[in-house]
Amino acid sequence: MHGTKRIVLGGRHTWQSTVCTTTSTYPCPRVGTRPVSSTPSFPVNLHFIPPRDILVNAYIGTPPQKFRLLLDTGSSDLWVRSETLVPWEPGTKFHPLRSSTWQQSRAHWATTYVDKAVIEGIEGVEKVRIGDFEVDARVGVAESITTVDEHGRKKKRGKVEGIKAGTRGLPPIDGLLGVALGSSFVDGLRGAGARGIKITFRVGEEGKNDLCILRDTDGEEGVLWYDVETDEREPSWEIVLKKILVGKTFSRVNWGQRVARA
Amino acid sequence: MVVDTGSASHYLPSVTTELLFHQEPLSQKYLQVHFVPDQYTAVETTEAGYQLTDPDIPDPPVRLVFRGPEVEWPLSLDSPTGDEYASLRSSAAGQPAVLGTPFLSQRKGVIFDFTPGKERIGFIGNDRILSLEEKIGNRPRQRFVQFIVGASLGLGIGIGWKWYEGSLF
Repeated sequence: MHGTKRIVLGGRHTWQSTVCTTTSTYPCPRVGTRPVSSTPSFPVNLHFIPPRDILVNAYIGTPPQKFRLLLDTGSSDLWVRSETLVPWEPGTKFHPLRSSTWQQSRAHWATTYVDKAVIEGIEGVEKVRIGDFEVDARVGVAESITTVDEHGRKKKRGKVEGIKAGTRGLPPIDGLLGVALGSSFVDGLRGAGARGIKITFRVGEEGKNDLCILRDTDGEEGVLWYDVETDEREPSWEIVLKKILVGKTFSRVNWGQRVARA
Repeated sequence: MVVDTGSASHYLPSVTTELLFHQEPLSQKYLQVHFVPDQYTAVETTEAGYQLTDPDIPDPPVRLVFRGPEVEWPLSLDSPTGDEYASLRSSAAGQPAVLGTPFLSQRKGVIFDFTPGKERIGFIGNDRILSLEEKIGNRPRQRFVQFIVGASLGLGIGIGWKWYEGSLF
């Protein structure tokens, strides 16, 4: 899936919210979670930076190389920066030829974001490890990041911009982990026996934010479940909004999940 | 509505957001509402930003009910970026409605269940939401108990009055 999406990479936002930075324990010691081992082989170390950025560690290639990625349920592409990306910016980069398990699948790969930022490069199938799971997933290697400013001028970037991560001493990201329902990574997790991704938030409370990958979701407690109703040709994490209440009045939603074209 | 951790704002169809912000109580709180097609240009339609001129908004001003468990999930309109715009905006034509991370992070957690054929999203509510749901769920039982207690009380008072009058037995 390479459609446009919501995340703004080259925006002008200046994030002003207070920062909550906590790390996770993994796997989450909760009902329904059946960890393979008490100590994960490849710790997720979830790092939440309000209002949006959920950062996780994934280990890509052979030997595994650690990347900090922005977890995104609204897109399908998993991509990391290439060593050839210019202008140079610090951080972890990926070099396909140094991985013994890299299998290139496309000589040209691209994805476009809602602010018209374009990420381009090559794509291959690679080992991706997270927690105790190892999956084969499609990985884009970004050789070019192009953003468009308010005057329509294009500019080459060496990193993801427009997000809070990477600013004011906060940890930067090395790429994106798209976990939309139809994504290659989710398919890989299914194949490895996983059944769900659980994110626990503890903003403003004691404790740590968590991400754990579940092998069983039925045993989870205190959860209100909503069935996903989506287009099978382009599956995404869609639920149906039934009504909106404002004060004492309510508006019933009749427009379905998609917005009618003007 | 796509649950999207890549979005810092929430998006609804323009028609819906216009209705919401043009009706009370939000119309009293949100003035000079205008729409922008993207983050740089202001026009009448498509992507919308709502200029908040009176920060004293009801709490929570908006609640969402999804198809499934009948729970009212509060949606904060606070700006995710600390600017003058509300978190709730209008989707561009052809784009899906979006529920962003600020909604999810107000819950205790969220589960994306990709079990084949049983895909679902689970919200782990805070205690207030869950107790509310419990109340709604137990409403018939509560009403039955209230009826029994009320009827017993009425019967007791009636019998007592009769006994006092000496007309009982």
